[in-house]
Amino acid sequence: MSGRILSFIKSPHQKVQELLPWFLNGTLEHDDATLVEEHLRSCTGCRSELDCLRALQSSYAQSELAPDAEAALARLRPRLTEPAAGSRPRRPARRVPPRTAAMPGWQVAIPAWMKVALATQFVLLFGLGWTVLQSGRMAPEFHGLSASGAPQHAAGNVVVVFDQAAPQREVARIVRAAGGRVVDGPTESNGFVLAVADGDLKAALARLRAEPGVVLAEPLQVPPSR
Amino acid sequence: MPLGITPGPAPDPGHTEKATAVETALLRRVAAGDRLAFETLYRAYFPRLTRFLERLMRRPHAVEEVLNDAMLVVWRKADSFNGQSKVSTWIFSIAYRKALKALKQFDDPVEMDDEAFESTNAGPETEMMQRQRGTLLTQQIGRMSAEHRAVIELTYFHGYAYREIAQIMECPVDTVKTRMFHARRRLRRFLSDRKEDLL
Repeated sequence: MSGRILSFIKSPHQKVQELLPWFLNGTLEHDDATLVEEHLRSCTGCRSELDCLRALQSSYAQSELAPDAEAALARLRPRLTEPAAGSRPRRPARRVPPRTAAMPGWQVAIPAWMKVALATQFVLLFGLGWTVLQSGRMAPEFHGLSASGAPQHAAGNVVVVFDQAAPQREVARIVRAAGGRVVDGPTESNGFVLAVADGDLKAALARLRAEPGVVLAEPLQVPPSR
Repeated sequence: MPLGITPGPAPDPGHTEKATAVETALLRRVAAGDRLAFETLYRAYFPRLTRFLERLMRRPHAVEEVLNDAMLVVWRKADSFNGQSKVSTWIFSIAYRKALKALKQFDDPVEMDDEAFESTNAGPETEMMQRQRGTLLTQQIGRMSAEHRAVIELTYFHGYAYREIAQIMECPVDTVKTRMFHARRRLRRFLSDRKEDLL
């Protein structure tokens, strides 16, 4: 043992030193970013370190590769159809429990307690549905906006991914034909976010999915922030 | 901005969120067996994964095989993606594990190789002067362990947050910070040793 007493409590300076690379790439969460910004105002050492990191990043971040995705993908394709060793089928059919041989299908044995539970559940659901229906009738002004036909999701409500080979003119035609407008994109996977009037959403999705140049068309479900 | 202390190019949160939504939707289709969705995802990730694996493994001939092994897992296990992380974090995590497994076959050092690192400082001056700063840095980083290389690559080139890197590498957040800190210290030592050559 060296006899030194190691301190596991980091000083603000040490914490900031550790966080600088992620301050530089812009991914720090608010509290961390505030800590770094405040410290940098008074610490010339950390400011100098940040300059060094910036130079490092700009030198390092160049990419010299020009990889050929198509050739590699062609070599992968035959493996996609091979079954994985020891794996179950990709889409296993839902297992239906075997019926009791002595009973017709509609007379599957249900325990008495389950019958009571199902009946109670039905009553509760019916009551809840009735309550919701009544509250809807009592607040007709809530539906006034959608009745005007204005899209409720001006920020986008449909995700579309086009085939990489689809020309820009074709993409524009497909979007127009579906009654949408592009509000975001393209992403790296050639995805776009469209805004479509809520009332037309189902028809727009069907129209988009029927286009050969469309890989994917789904209602937008932005995952919750972590 | 005062003091010139603004962070680097912050990712546009709105755009990132939408890109995440697009990739999540694509992966859902992959889980349903949609080959076209898979190939779209493959093409989108191929350049990023190639760069990551090339820097991580330092064996260009092995990159495509590991990349395809990783994407085969994406194809087969897409239905196990639970949405707890971003699609990109999940895919990079698979690629990272595949790369480490391959590196074990190559008997690659898993810890920082001090001797190899120090020995590079004794290289011939003329050769050092002919090379560019970026190439030198890449070489120095290439002499670190795979874990240190991965942290540097995922931060500086791919722009991941340290929490995402911890998810990809399946290690504690503090480990990510410590690996980065040690890697920087060694690079700083290298830069100060070679300051005259690099200026």
